[in-house]
Amino acid sequence: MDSKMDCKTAERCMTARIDGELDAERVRALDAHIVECAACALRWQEDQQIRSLVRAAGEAYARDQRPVVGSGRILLDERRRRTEELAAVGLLRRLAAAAAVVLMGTGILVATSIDRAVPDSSPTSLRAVAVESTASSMDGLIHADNTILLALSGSWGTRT
Amino acid sequence: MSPRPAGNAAEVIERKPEDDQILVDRILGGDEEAFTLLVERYSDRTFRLVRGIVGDWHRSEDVLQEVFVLVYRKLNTFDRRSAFTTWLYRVAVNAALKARGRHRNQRLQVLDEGFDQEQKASVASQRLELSELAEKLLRCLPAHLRAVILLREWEGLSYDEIGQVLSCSRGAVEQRLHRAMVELRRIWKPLGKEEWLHGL
Repeated sequence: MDSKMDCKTAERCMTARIDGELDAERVRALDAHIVECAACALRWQEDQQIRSLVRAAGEAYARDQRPVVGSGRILLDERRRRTEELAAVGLLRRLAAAAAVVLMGTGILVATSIDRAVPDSSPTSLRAVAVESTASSMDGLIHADNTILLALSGSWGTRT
Repeated sequence: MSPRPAGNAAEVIERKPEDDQILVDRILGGDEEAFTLLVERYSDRTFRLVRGIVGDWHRSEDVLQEVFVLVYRKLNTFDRRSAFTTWLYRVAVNAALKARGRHRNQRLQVLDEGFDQEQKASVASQRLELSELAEKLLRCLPAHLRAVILLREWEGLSYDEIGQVLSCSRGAVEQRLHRAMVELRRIWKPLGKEEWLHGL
């Protein structure tokens, strides 16, 4: 880079220079420019003063009263949230189990009534259909129950 | 090119990043005491940053609470590619900017206060406390520019670290800091130069 720096570039470099983020070559060029240019020398001084002022505000904030942040409250809220989630899961499982029992009962009733209505000599295909339909309903329910549990366990994250 | 220590040396006790990693592991393992330690360790620094962006004390306290709730819930998404503090600052800055956005009208009111011509003229005679003057100066900055200068000046982050916090490039950080300085210079000239020269 050319060792001569113009005012616009100098202005852009000042912030990085204050922050120690300017490379050595541009530091030398900027310093040389500031020595030669009165306007940029003044701007450089102002920038440093402004930065000192910003730091002073940070120090004043640090001296102020401490914030009240309750890690206990956060943990308590989280425990409550998880308890509620677990309760919801429990309720869903109970509902799924109840639905399964009802369907099983219905299936047995249907199978029994078919058994009574159809004479022994007739083909047994109707009975088989009823039993199969009950079994497939059960599979569907178990699948739905697992899906619900998977979705909920995903929402809990990895923590227990 | 090393980051400068943050504003208050007494407050900032430098810790090794691995200390934080251990704490994070403990929290993820269900150790609630570790979370309390983490809150104690970082609440002051985080609060200062949040307050610097949000402005109002009580609202900043609410935001701080929100930040640590998010930290607790999202800790398993911390990928450890950066220091824990970088991740924490990202959560804090995002929460603070969001809170700031919710109260944009209030900011306009603050700007009005800051730029009122009569007030500008009387500032010098009122002999504001230096910190008050600085606070006023900062409040006149748009929140996203304020965030970048506070991360640099108060938290002592390098440009690369600020880029990680704000999810932007090093060049963008330089650009934003430059814009912040241009804006601060513009505000500061009529607002506080006299105060400074009078040796406050």
